[in-house]
Amino acid sequence: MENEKKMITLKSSDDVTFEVEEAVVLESQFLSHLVQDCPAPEHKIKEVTGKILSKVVEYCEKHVVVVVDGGDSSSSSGDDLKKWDDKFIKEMDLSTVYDLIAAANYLNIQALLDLMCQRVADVITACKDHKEIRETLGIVSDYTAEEEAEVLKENEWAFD
Amino acid sequence: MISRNACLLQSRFYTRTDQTSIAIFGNRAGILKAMNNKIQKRDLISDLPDELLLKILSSLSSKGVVTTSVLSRRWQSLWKEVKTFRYDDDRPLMYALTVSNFTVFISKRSRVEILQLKLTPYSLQSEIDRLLCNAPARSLKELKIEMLYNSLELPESLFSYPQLETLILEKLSLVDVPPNANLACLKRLKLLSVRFSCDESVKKLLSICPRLEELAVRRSTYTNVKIFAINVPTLRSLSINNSSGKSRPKGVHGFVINAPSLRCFTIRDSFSNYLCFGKMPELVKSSVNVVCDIFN
Repeated sequence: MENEKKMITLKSSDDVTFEVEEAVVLESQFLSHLVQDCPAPEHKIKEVTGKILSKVVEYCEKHVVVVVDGGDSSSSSGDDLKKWDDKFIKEMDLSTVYDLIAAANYLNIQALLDLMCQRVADVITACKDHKEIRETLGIVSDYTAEEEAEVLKENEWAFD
Repeated sequence: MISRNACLLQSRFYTRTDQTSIAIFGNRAGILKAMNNKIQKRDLISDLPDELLLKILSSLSSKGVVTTSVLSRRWQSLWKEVKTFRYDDDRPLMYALTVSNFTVFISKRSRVEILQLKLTPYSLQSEIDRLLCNAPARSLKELKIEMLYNSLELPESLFSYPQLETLILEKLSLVDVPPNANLACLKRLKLLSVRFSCDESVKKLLSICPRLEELAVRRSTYTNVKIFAINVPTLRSLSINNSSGKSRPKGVHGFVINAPSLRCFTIRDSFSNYLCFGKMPELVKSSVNVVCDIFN
């Protein structure tokens, strides 16, 4: 369609650079506005580290390609994308997931935010009780034993 | 990163933990040990802002949502802000008990906007009626009911929900709507693998939705309707999927669509032998993927 693809450079908080096509940047509402308002070749994203930005770029690149090639968004490409998403999240530790949630929220990439939040929800759902949730998510309780017992009692119906 | 910075800046959470630890250990070694624990166990998830934690909570079952209150003080009251609640029954024998508990729970919530119910064949119509009668009618915007191919009569209370904009029915057999029923505010309707008593029953349901803008229909082997007549003058978006399952009823079966305001139309159909589309002068986007015996 286009003769020449416009390239844009993104620079992370720790100065790691990523050269991406403009279409990839448009997956992020925040970056779309940034690129429109300020047509510089390089954009520094102070709030996102290189490690996380590389994941964001990987996700956006995959999703752009599928949408463009899929045309009529046939179910096979939809299934492939879902499989890719599953693999993408399974290889990730939870602290990366949390960072990606914050990054997707900041960069305004709704599909990535949904995917990551669902991942955490699935992890919580797989736990058998609150102790396991704490352990898995790394949450430190600041309740005293009495307080915890009280909260448990208050919401008894849910903990049977 | 945002969350890490936030973690360092607002260490309110850890201060409390440290004090407890100091009190317990009461010596220098103890303090050092407590500090080491602090470094190892940085509670990264609790540093996400409320809006993001609420987004995560909105994807949990109602039981899961309430369970989070006991994780730590940070989570204690957070769940009360959640506006989406799910009831997903996976324990049939406990059903009667839990659904009444859920009814009590839902009746105490004042700002439920989205309610998603996944019910088993053990559910009784009277329990569903009671549940929806007790739901906070003023705030409810979206209701999804999924049953494992059981029959459902839309509870009368539903017709008085002033803000109900979205109704999703899945894998259930819908009892005819009463003639005086009205879903006055409904804008979005999804009928996913829904069985009706007869073809006329579909028309009746659509006729009580005077403001319907979006309709999605998924037919399966379970959907026994022959001609699915969609006659909705206000409809702007229509999506039909008739490509799953193995068989369809014998004889003539398909769709008759008369929706003159339609702007977006998608159909995937590999079964119908009768399709009839009225004029759609305002159509902006369409995707037609049809493999049929006879195309009319």
